[in-house]
Amino acid sequence: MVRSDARAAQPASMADESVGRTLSNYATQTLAVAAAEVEKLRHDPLELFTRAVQPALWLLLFGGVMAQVRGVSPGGLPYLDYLSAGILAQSVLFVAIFYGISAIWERDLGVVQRYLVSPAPRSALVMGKALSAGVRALSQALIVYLLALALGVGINLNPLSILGVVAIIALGFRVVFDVFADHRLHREDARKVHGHRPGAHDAYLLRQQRHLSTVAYARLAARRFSR
Amino acid sequence: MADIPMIDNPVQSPAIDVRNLTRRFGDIIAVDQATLAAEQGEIFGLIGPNGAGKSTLIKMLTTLLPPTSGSATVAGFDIVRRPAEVRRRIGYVPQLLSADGSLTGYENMLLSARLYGVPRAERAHRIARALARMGLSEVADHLVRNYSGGMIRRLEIAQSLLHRPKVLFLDEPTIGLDPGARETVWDHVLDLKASFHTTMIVASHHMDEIEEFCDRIALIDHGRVAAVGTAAELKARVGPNATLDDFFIQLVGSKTETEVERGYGEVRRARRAAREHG
Repeated sequence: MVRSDARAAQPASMADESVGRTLSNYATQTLAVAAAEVEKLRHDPLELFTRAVQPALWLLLFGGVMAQVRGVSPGGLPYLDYLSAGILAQSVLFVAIFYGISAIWERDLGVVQRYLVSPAPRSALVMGKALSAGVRALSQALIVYLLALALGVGINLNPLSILGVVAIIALGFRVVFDVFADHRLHREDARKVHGHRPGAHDAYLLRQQRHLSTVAYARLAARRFSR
Repeated sequence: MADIPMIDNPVQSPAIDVRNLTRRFGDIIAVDQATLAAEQGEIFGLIGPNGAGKSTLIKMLTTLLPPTSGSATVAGFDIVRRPAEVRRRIGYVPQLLSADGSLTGYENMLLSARLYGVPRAERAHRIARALARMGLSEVADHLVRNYSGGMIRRLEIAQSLLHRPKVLFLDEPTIGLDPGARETVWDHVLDLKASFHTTMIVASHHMDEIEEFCDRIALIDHGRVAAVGTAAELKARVGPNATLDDFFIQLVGSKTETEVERGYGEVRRARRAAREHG
């Protein structure tokens, strides 16, 4: 019975329409994963503030002290200007690492299984996860921008540059690298599901990949940050 | 949810048709030439010792795991050749915790609705009805981490129902629940069967609930389907006054602990799932 209504649902003449619908489903599924992440932030905005503690400490306390010491002379740049770009990169990187860890926790629970058994394509899940990592990283970047502005750091305020930072953080390399990292995650997941332990080496590679990808994109963002 | 009938066509093709399905992990045969069929609208119980292959069988049928050999159709579609069609027609409530504790019940439902492509215009309506059906309307806007174990299970079932699946897989749905919560979960499962004729495949270790609620039961042991029948048929094989427990022990033996698949990590995960639910 199901066979016959499946055929009825996809006659050849409706091929174009179904391509459109597939794409819009894909977008919905990707955004659904990211939207859930935004909801989580909305429920727990305190998290944003606790995450802001570390960059604030670095910029206000250590930055202030080190600037007084004048022990470091970063090629004529004011010390705080030099530091801020690094802090941006660092905080974004930490967010990404924490997010990666939470994705692995999700796998240990059954949340990932719920995704995998749905008709959503695997790639929509990966894209959605990458987007959500971007959302978190962006909120962190915003805090660093605000702090830096308050401290009078010479930020590159050209809107295009800021957009560049935003785009790189939100999407850019994260997606490309995450596709590889998550591919591995899924493979690992599949093996774990079977009752086979993932090789320690694979877990190591997975972590390395994640770290490399986050470092690469954090550096790229930092480069656009300062004048 | 009652507004669209689940049955499009009264022709009775089996909801699940498994033929010689086999899954190996290296030298270990987790599922060995399993053959069984479940009719539409049937509640089909899977029992068997830990590591017997119940979960592996369910993972193959839900397309999470490719079989090594053999074939199976679920809701009329081949699990290997048409996995996307199968996924559209099944619901799966995993043994592990699958609802997201940092989201509200409603948001969890919304995520599922979007993943399953429920049309935008119908989402709110269907979510509200599914939550009402599972008795969760009042707590829809509470964070799931504040739910009780029974409420979480009911939410997970509600999430699996949004797209009106033809077949619903429940892997140990009452693990870690107190008797009251177990009763409630089963009440809702029976209600689904009565309302939508949904086929359900239920793996469980609770012989009492399997006996009470399942139309037919398959005993899986060492990856093989050791017996299939109604509870009465299975018990009659042992003796006139036998219980399902007696049948289980007679077929499997009391030494049910097979260390094959159930290492420390597995136990840790199951316990954690039980804790999260309870």
